[in-house]
Amino acid sequence: MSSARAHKVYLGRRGWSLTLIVLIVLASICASLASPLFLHPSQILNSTGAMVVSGVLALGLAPIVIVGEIDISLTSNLAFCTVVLGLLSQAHVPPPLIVLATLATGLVLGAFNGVLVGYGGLPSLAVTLGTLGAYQGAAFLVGGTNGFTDFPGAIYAIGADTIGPVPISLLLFAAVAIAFAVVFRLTTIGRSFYAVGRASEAVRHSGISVAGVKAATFCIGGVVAGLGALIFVGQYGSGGGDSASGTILTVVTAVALGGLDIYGGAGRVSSLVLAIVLLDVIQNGMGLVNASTTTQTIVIGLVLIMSLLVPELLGRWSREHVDQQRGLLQVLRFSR
Amino acid sequence: MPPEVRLQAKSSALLTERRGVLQSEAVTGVLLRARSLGPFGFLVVLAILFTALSPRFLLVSNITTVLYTAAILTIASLAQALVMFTRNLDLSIGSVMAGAAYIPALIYTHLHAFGPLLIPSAIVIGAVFGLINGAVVAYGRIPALVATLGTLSIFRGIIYSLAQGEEIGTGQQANWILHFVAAKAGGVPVIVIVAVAIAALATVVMRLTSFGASLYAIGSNPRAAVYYGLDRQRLVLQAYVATGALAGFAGLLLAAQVGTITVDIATGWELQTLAAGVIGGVSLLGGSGGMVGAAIGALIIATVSNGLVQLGLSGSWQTFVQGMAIVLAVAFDVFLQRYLITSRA
Repeated sequence: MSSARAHKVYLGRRGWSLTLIVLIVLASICASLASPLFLHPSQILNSTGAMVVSGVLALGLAPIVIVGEIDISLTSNLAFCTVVLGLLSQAHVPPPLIVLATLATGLVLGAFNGVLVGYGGLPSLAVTLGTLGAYQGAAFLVGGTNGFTDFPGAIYAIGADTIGPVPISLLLFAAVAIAFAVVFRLTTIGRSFYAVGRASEAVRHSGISVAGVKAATFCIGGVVAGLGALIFVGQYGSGGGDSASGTILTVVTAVALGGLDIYGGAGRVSSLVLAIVLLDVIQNGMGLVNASTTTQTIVIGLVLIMSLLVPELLGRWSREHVDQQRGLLQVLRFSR
Repeated sequence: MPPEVRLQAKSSALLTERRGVLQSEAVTGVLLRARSLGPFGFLVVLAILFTALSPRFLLVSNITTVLYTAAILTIASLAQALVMFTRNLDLSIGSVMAGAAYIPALIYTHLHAFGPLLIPSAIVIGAVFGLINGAVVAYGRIPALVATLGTLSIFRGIIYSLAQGEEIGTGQQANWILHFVAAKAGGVPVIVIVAVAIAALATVVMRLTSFGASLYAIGSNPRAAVYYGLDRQRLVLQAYVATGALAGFAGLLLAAQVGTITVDIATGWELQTLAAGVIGGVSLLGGSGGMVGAAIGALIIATVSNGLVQLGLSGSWQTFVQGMAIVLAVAFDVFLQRYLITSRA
């Protein structure tokens, strides 16, 4: 039995989101006790900058995981997109065209994975493990090892500026999250993601192209990686082959912590957003008490494993518990 | 139509059908053989290509260099292949190697009497990391990809916090291990001999022992293997422990080879070892391939990187080619498997 299905046994349908909210509150209390700076609104809004790129990528990974596949090349996809962005900026291409070209690059790289996985029937883990290296290598080959630091102001603004007190990048994240939540819940396309993840054979018989749906999710992930690249260059002021190279850990952690079934077929955007918020609070809090990035990495790694291990163990425990009770009931029934 | 003519027509139809089956069996056989001999053929083609492009490639000194760089990658790839047989993988292998390289060396800098224990302690540390991986994957039932992605950063983080930003220089390492790694016996580097010996041993284990057969069984059909009575969780755990131990040994050798042990040592080896396995015919879907293939895969990667350097191409090409090679090898595997299934049906 898969882990996310297991935790439903124990936590119920909304229990996962509720648990995350409780954890967010607890983490916030700890953080504000540790540092009085934590609860300052501008501090909280600023802190989202450290999380927003991973958060956007996690949203992009969500549909892929829901159809039962994985894409660990998203960070390399983002890196290649920043290189395209840098090259076009050097050539003084107008910013709107740069935005379109970057998103299109992400789409193409995502589609390459999607076609191989969907129509070629190749295992997504192997394919994206390969393209993880291939895209990053290509990014270094095209963009050189020094990368780019010169971007037009309008592009830079996407990741760096704010509207009032709110960062534009955070608004973009929220927009993608809301769009995904609506699409996943209310449209036929969104429904087909869950259906493919849950029972691809049944979907095939109902006349939906499983290959097409799978390929489409990789394309969506790719476009979102392109968006991630636009945010990244404003956030970090540079682009190149090593952009976002370490963030896949945080991205996968967010997806696992968000309660998405890693085997496909289940998961809600709202829980995923809560998981990203929780990770942000944890990282922000640790940053405020001057915990080293090493400690932060260890903690994120532990959170990743725990977010799957704890529900699995709880699920197993509750199943045994339920089985025992059922067994007892049956014994009573037979003895009567 | 007279009966004998009808019979003749029928038998000739049978004959052509039979011939068709034979032909498809012959094709299947050729393809299967191509998969196991393919990596070797590919290596030969690569060697010819690089020789044509760069006259220095085929010099004895250069070939020795290729073998020397391939040796440790071979040992690490054998370790990776072990879990790949069981339909798992180990993304944390680079961190495991780093831990097994760094921790014993760190103890040695404070305690020189620790010297003789370097090799066993590296193996034990690797095995402990492997035990953690195996426990989480086998008994926690967490997908290997996710579990070892987590331990990749946890193990690396532990090394960072132990190191406190310090690196261990050549002068602080035990002399004998530096000499051992650099030594040559009759012109052949000793670590190449060691790698060949381990590859031979691993081949024997996988081919001739029931442990090896069980690993293949749970990799090729986990459910059937469990019905047959194999303890799947225990076997996966054992495979991870063995992978960790072997990776630990490889990490120790790598530390002695590069001389200065930084906290970043062996970063990115997960991709290299997986590429070596996949190129060498060890399927990520488990249950197929062999140790010899993994070793040849490692040799191919070392050859490509050497050839690219000879041609004056950057390390980025290496990353790119390695990644594309994984995709191509997997595509070939899956299409071959699909062809085998349809031709049998």
